[in-house]
Amino acid sequence: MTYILYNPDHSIKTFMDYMSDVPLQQGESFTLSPLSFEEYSQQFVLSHNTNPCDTVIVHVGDPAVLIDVSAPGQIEVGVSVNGQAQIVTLIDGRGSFLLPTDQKGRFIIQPADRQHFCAAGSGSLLVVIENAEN
Amino acid sequence: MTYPLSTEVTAGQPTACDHYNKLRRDALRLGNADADSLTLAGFLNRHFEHMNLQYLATNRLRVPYAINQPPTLMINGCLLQATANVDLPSNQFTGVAATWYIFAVRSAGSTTFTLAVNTAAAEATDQRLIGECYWDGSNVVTLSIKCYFQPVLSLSNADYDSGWFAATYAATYTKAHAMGAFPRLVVLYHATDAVGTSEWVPVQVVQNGNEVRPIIGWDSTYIYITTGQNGAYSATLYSMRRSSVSGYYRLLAWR
Repeated sequence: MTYILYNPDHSIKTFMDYMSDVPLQQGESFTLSPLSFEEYSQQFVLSHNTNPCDTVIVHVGDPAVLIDVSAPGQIEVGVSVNGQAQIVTLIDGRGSFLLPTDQKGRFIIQPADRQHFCAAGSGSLLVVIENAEN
Repeated sequence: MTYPLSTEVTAGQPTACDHYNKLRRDALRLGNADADSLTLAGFLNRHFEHMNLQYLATNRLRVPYAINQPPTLMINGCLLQATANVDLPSNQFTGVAATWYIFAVRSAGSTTFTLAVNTAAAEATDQRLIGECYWDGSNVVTLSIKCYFQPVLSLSNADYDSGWFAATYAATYTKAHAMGAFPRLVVLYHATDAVGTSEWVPVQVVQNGNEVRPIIGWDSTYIYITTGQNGAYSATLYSMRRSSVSGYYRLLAWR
């Protein structure tokens, strides 16, 4: 069983094994998932080179950055890249997409539907494109 | 048990054997029967207080003395106490690299002790093994000096453990530590998986836009974590080991 804590806007704030030590803030709510904490953490995972949660730093002109998406049981999933939602088709719950490196910038990637999938844990990934001299 | 067993003797009163034996039992075993108590000398046989070892230049050792904590120990039944620093003489270490054992040594006619070293750990009659150090063939390795009488401290289990929970940017996570007082030590760890099988990195600071800031505070009831506000920066962990905008946190706190 896993406790899922929601923000006042009903987006998922976090999830945890127990919440006896968590005071609910104004507007927050929670539900209980039958999945274990570890199982729940795998519901939406973004990764690069098999590494989730690890800020990706590349240089302008490097090969495009391959982002892997895992959402078991889904055939497609919405992914937000800098606030722009895009659909990623999944095969056996897995898919991927590329991010360009033609110019300096930052990509914050997270689930487009934050009421269904959690951006916390393995659900967000930051990609930083730096100039080569950095 | 009545203690003492013996009673005072008045002038002119003959000392009976029973009286003498009670007095003897008081002295040796605090009035207890032989089967119930060691003798005081046996009980104190391995006694020590305020014993420590320090490095003393060059390639020497010292048992430091303090007037309110004098180094004290029992050797071969004798109660000994230093009255000044006890220093190992020069040029005691020789030969190839090896562990050397350090002994306190009793000498007849003295109520204090001296120091000696040997590559063998066995105690001679008037010696007490008190520590060891490593001789690298040229020098005593300072960090290797160990006094066996100094307690080895280990960190106790945390008084509060949040378990792992998911984290991301622009959030405040509040945890009730239930200590009823301000924790004296709080440590926040970051992992990239839900059960902490990846490397744990302590969270010292995060990026908040172009700034770098610590993120933890606490009071007598709660521990608060506020992550960096901008998801375009490493708002949950910023470290040479790893940076992240999400991940899993675990709080440990000690009262």
